[in-house]
Amino acid sequence: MTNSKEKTNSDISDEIESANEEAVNRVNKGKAVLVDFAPAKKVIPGMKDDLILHAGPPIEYKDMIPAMKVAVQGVLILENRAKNLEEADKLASSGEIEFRPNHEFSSAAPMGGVTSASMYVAVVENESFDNKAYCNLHEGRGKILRFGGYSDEIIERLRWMNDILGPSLSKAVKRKPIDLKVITSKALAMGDEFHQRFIASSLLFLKEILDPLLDTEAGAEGVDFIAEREQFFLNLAMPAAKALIDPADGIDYSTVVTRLTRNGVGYGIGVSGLKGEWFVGPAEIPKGLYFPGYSEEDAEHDFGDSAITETIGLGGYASAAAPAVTRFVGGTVKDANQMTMDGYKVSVSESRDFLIPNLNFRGTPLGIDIIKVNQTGLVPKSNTGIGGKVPGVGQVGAGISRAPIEAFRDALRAYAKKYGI
Amino acid sequence: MIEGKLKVFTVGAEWFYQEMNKQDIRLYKIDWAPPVELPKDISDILKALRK
Repeated sequence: MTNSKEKTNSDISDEIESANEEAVNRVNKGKAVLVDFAPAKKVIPGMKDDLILHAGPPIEYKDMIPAMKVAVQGVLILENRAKNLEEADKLASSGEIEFRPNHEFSSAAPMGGVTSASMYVAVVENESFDNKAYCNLHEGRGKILRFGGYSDEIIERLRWMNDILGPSLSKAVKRKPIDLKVITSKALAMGDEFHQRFIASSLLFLKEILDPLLDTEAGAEGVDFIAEREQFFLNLAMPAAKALIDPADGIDYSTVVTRLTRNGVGYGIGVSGLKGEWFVGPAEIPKGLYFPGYSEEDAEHDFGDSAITETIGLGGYASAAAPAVTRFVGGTVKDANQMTMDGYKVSVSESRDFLIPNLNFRGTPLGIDIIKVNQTGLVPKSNTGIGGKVPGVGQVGAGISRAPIEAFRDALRAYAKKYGI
Repeated sequence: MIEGKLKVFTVGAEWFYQEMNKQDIRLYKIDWAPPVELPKDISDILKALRK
């Protein structure tokens, strides 16, 4: 800031209004086209062998929750850097491996979000602003690496995804790039909210990829893999959201939230006018329903980058479009509508592309404003998966998690300091 | 029959609401949340930004 001291608070309020309008306009004007799948090291700028990306705000290996630690150990085995979990733990603790948030590498990935150099990632391009975003491939639900699951079967599946599925998907989308914003708009009208429910979008994606994928090495096996995973689109919706929100980051004076993410210990947010800064509060255990045999005692605190979807008006803020989700996460239809209505109270604008049929095609709430969140106390809520706190168990349920107000308070304090309020 | 609207805003009001319903007084519950208590420094920033 150069001249903030000379501005009156009224001037600053005008600056905020126009900066926020610019931020939401950039999201509305953005595009999100799936153009490739490739190993992380080949496409993510700055990605290297000794770097592992993870979900949430920055965290050291020693402070990670058990599920994220096991996911790290799993990828070190996948990368042939360790033979077993014990060896992998030693290597991860040695200081030889660098750990950084996905968000700082134009990426977003669910749950542990752990991504290593050779792992295939989806490449989503926003040609309106010439930026790209990335996310690793969807493994499925239950006992999987992203939830801290580990077994020979999990590693074998990841190797197949790297060796066969990834290269095949790459060939398929190069033949036919897929507009993810169009799929998202359609699927929103079919009951998906894009944090928990991806049934319609995964099917629409399968319809697009079916023909080109059948002509690849993965062939029918690849088609089956996608067809069996009704959340397959999760790992495409997230880089699409990242590709759309990133151009809205770094606008002076904007109070729009550009990052919402959890690592099981902290829940971090980022703000457009405070580019690069993290504001972190405690991550909570989501309230929800548990799979048979599990209860809240088995649950880990909230983790994953998936709340990126809320930053572009999806997820919790699109709940009114997805009444079916509320039952899965233990709420009512009234609760679902309320989550969207609360979103309007704390947002700058409404989405031009993501329309909710049962709200007379009103656009979803777009552009979470830290000022409005502080005024109302209405923190963003997400419909999210609940991971088990014991490594190896995987997903134990699904529920609703809230962002901590402390992060929004700290962000506003930093904002006031930077802009001389 | 009495018809009207009751603003439920005190601790224990849910009990009152149930009792009134038992007595066949038709009431409509209006959800209400207490005002957000803001830390002073946050309150000052928000006031400064108010046009």
